Amino acid sequence: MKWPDAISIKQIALAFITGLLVLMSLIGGFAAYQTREVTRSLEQHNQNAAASELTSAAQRLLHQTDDQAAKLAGWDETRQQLVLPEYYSYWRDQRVYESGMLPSHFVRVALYTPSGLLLAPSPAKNSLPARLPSDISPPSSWLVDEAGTTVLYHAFPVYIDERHQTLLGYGMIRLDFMPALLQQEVLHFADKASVRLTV
Amino acid sequence: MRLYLLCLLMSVFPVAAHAAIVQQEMRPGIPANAEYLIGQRSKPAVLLLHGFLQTREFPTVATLARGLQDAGYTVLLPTLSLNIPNRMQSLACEAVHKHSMEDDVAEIGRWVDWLKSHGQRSIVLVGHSFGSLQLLAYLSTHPDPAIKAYIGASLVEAQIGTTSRQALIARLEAQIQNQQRTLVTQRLSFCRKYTSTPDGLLSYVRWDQPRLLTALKQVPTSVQLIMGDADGMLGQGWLKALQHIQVPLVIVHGGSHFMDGEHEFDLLDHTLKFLEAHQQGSSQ
Repeated sequence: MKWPDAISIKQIALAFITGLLVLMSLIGGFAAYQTREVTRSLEQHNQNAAASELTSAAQRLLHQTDDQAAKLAGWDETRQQLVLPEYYSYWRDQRVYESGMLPSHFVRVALYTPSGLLLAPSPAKNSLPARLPSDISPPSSWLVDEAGTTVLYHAFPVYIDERHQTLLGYGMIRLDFMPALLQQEVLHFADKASVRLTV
Repeated sequence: MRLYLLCLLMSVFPVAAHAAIVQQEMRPGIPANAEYLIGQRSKPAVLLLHGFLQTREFPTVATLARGLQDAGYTVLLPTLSLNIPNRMQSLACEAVHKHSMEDDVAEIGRWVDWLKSHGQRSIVLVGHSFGSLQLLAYLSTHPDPAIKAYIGASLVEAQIGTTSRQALIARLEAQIQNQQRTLVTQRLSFCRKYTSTPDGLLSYVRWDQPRLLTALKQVPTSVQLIMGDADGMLGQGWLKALQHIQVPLVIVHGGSHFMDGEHEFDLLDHTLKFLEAHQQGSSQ
């Protein structure tokens, strides 16, 4: 067998190189496609993980607030304020934090009479509503946008006895929701700077 | 199975029927509660009072109450309200203390009256630590023929650390006179930062060792003190001062302020011994 004289070795080499290039391009294209797919899938996964951890963090924060409210409602010193409020401001501004009942960051508390009126005016900074909203039935939580700040309110009843027969009044916890949510050390996927909540 | 349940019910019922939680309104909006353990009618009723800022669940008094009930005594175990409605927890030193010795004494009086209204004509007051002091303060102002005896375990005065008592009293009196209601922080008993109203604090601070000894000498009933010689809460020379006034005194060797561990049996034994001797003396 003899190679046709018209096809030179040069042409063969050129065809081989062209074929090789096409093959390489195909492989490269496929690899790029695969990489993009993996990246997209990873992004999706990260986004799902971030959403999931944000949901968990929010739920954890709500549970934490529930627990704090339950502890405050059962605390002897809370009941004392609703009967003898002479040193209520000391209790509200100092005692609840020093005793460890509430963390000193992002959280404030106030007490209300059985008719829903604030026991005494709160300090201007982080003030709480003068009256419990009429459409809520404690215990309950709700989110409010206050001048661009997302605030979680949690209202809870305070009874004189363990059997919950006599109502002494109400307590309300005010939580700066976003800073409290983002300060939790469990956010690995969520980009804290980009987390927004629309109320 | 039904028979078994019936037997179980029958065995539980007598215990439940002999213990109850009772409640009284001490001041408007301030109910206080006590555990009432019913014993034999032939034996005196014991009003057993807990120590400073504690409750009736404090181990020293709770264990003693069970032991006394097992021996057939009726026991009333109140928790002083300390002006907290239905108080159930021991009160922290740094809490707002809006109570006074006068309030505590008034509450003791209410519980004594409650016992009398339930047919108890023979009552013995038993206190632990500061509770012994509060009972003594009650006895010195409310002599009552129904109270037949007083037992003070680990009795202490109102300790204020190194502060000059005279200077502190003068300062508190001046604040009260000027109608200053600012909270005062002072060392009192085991509290390093006891936060109180000036009048409330003053009412306790007035109970120093000399006043306590005078009250002990004037108690209008039989007295028995039970003290531990390993009690780190006692001031120097306090046991000697008690011995000096010749008040009936039993010293529990190795007993701490709380008479814990094996010494809880010593406390119960000495209390029972005194109660039995006193009962025999009364019947004779």
